[in-house]
Amino acid sequence: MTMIHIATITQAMGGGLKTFSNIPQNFAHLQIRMNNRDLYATTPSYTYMRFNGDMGNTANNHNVRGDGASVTASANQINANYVITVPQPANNALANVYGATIIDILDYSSTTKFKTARAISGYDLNGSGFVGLYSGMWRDTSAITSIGIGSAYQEDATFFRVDLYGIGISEQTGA
Amino acid sequence: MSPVHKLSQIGSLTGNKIDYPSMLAGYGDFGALQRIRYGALSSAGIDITNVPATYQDLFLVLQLRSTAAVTTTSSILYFNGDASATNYSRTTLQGDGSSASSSRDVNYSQLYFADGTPGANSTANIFSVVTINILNYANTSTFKAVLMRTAADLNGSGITNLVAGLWRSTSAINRLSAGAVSGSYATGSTFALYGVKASAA
Repeated sequence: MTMIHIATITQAMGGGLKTFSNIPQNFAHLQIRMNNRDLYATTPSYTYMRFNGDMGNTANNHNVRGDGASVTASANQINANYVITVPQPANNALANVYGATIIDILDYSSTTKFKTARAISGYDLNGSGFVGLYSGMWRDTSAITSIGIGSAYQEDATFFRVDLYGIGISEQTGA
Repeated sequence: MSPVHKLSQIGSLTGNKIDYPSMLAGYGDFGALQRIRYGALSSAGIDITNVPATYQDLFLVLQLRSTAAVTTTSSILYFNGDASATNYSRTTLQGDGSSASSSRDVNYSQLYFADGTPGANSTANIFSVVTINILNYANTSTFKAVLMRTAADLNGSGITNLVAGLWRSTSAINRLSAGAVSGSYATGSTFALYGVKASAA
């Protein structure tokens, strides 16, 4: 197994949905590692992910999460336009806290399967916070060539950062 | 054999799109995932010092069992020797085979993890498996966010959980310490600390 860093998105790239484009197709899987926080004061805020710029309601997603007191399970079971949505600290949350999210996308380059992503995500604010398991499906057999990520309210905090990695299954070629 | 990476232009920089760096040789181990320290756990746990600041994230993998005369116990984790001030907190999501629950620790002196780790009163040969991700651990402007995943099935009991933890310090993490809450770690307990690089350099 080989893990290769492909690219990084940071807050410095400006507001709105930012895109990893022209994703190389020679890996087996992809992993996204993210530190997220919104620049706006709305609790909670969310980070969204979509594939290939598709806004055509072709995604579904589920989650189970805890808030420190209770557990909830929810879903956009049909016609969502984001594959994964995870909560993140808003600007009025405890300062200097960023959420942590890891997303795995297996077999992203397949042209015969719909694409499933899974995520673990959470943040703790020393008295509040969320932690949860998230999954999403993109109902499209196209290879994933771009991934869009950004905050729901269109502005990310200073140290907002997303790293994209390719996971290879051949040590020699990275394929 | 060292991994062989292709050198090729695979992206371009226009607008908010990304220019991908060439995939240079210079990675070791598993590419961006590189071993820092690993081996059998001592009975007292781990105290890893001089953690290099050259990675983007840290990834810790453990197999744990306690010698304490209990069915299950937890472990504690702390950074940079900070084990007395109340700088740790966590939010948990847990299933125990019959119900799901969520709980919270506030203003703790250490970060609790690996709940449900088997002790001496549990069936022999069972160890909990724990993964801990610490993202952006060397950043000196942010508090440290920790994602901890534990699997501990005891064939009739057990838990699986996910924990979001927080160390309220902007210091870069250069030391990790962990130990069992009850007893010591049993023979067969292991650890591996990896660094996740965000570049080939």
